[in-house]
Amino acid sequence: MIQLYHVYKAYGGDQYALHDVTLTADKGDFLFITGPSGAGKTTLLKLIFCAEPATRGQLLVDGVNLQRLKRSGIPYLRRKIGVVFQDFKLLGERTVFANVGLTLEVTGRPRAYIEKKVRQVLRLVGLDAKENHLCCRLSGGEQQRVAIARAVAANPIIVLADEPTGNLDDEITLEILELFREINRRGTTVVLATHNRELIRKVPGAKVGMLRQGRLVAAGVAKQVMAQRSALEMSSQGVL
Amino acid sequence: MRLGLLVYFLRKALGNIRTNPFLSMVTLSTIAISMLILGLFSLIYLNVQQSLHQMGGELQITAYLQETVSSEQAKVLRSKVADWPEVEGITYISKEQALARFRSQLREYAGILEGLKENPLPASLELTLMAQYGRSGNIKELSTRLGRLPGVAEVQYGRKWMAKLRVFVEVMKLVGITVGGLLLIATIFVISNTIKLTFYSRREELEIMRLVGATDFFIKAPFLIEGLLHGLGGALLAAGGLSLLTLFLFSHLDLPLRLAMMAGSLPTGQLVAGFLGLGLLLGVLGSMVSLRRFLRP
Repeated sequence: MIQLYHVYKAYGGDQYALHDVTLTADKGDFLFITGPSGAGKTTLLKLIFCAEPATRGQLLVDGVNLQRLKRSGIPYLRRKIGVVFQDFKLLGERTVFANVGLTLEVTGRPRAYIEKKVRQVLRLVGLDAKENHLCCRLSGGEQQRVAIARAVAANPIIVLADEPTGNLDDEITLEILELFREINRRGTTVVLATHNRELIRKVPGAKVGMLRQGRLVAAGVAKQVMAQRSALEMSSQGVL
Repeated sequence: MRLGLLVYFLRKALGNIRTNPFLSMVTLSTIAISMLILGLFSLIYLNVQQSLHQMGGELQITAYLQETVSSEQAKVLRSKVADWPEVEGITYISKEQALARFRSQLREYAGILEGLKENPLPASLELTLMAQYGRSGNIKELSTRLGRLPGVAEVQYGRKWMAKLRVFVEVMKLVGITVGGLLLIATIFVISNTIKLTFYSRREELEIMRLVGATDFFIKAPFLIEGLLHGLGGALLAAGGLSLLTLFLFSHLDLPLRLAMMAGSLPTGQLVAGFLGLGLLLGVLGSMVSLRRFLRP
């Protein structure tokens, strides 16, 4: 579903945000991209939904080679990908309904379909009672749910989420994670960028790609990768 | 394009206009005033040109004959000139007829002619020209040709004022094109600026739309329609204003008979259609100038 081969991303000069990253996510995978701040997690997601082009390497999404994708083809690729942004990117002065419906509006769907589909996804995220509320009046957790509802409204084959639990308390974090697991259980590939290792431990069967300073330092099944990293960290602390 | 989508774009465009009604009013007024000025120039130009066309048809050239020319010779001359392609009609006015006409023109002062021992007025040929020759500026050539004919003493026609009127029309045309061109450029700039401001006020939404898969066309279309609506609205206001203004001018001003007679036909349907077409064009151009810049990759 998502294939990265020796991908580089440079922001001018020799400063690489991503350095020789090779990673894949198959259909129905739950993939965590993890690493400390500045490791390149957000950059990686941006490359996948064509917000930025890779400097080098090959990047395929649903069989489409992004290096060869024309500008006019980008909107159609984005319709296959739902994105939950770190800052939510919601329209605060619009209702929950309007925000979620926007994804369907841009594809030219008829009004009746939009109404039905928006209510359906709002039920999924537990916000069906708040469809007429303004987004600016919602709590952080509720806003995150609106962002998730918007990301899944158009039935994407991939959902990308950038630090979706960054500013939420533990209880809400677990609820949001459970939402992503539910979306994944329905067959959608989920790629979730987070620095929160606790979150990864909650989904032991997920795949993990660990980044450090733009390089992929570990990749595999969550349980194994996390065990490896813990052992490494413990030994390095012992040496020190 | 599906009707539903068109309705959606139209709704969005009207929403944009409602978001900033003051800005829309300013834009509409600017378009209307620019087009009104342009329309006035066009109207004056078209009417003066039309007058020239009509006057060309009625233009008379008078060839005064020498004293020595007999009436038989004059008639031969008349049939010769009548065959010229430029000539629509020709009348021979004898010395006696000329005096009688002069007497009738003098009316109560005709008595002053009583003391004359002999008739001082020459016989003449009065020529009416075909409309196309009156317009094309070859009257001078025709009068020279006429003057060279044996028996013709002098040729007269309304040369000076015709030339002045033609210069006036040409100046009008030049001023109209220059002022109109500048106004149209200014109008495009105003529409473009309005679209830019609307775009700016909605930039967050448009950015999100783009991120969730909106095509450039989907983002552009409501702004293009907004520009079109402004252009069309401005053109309608200008056409209405022009009609009212011309009606007012013709009903309140003491105009010469010829101009007053044209009042009923102003402004023409063609001019209004031209206005609407121009309004639409300005709207599209104004919008495109802004959108091209905003949607650059």
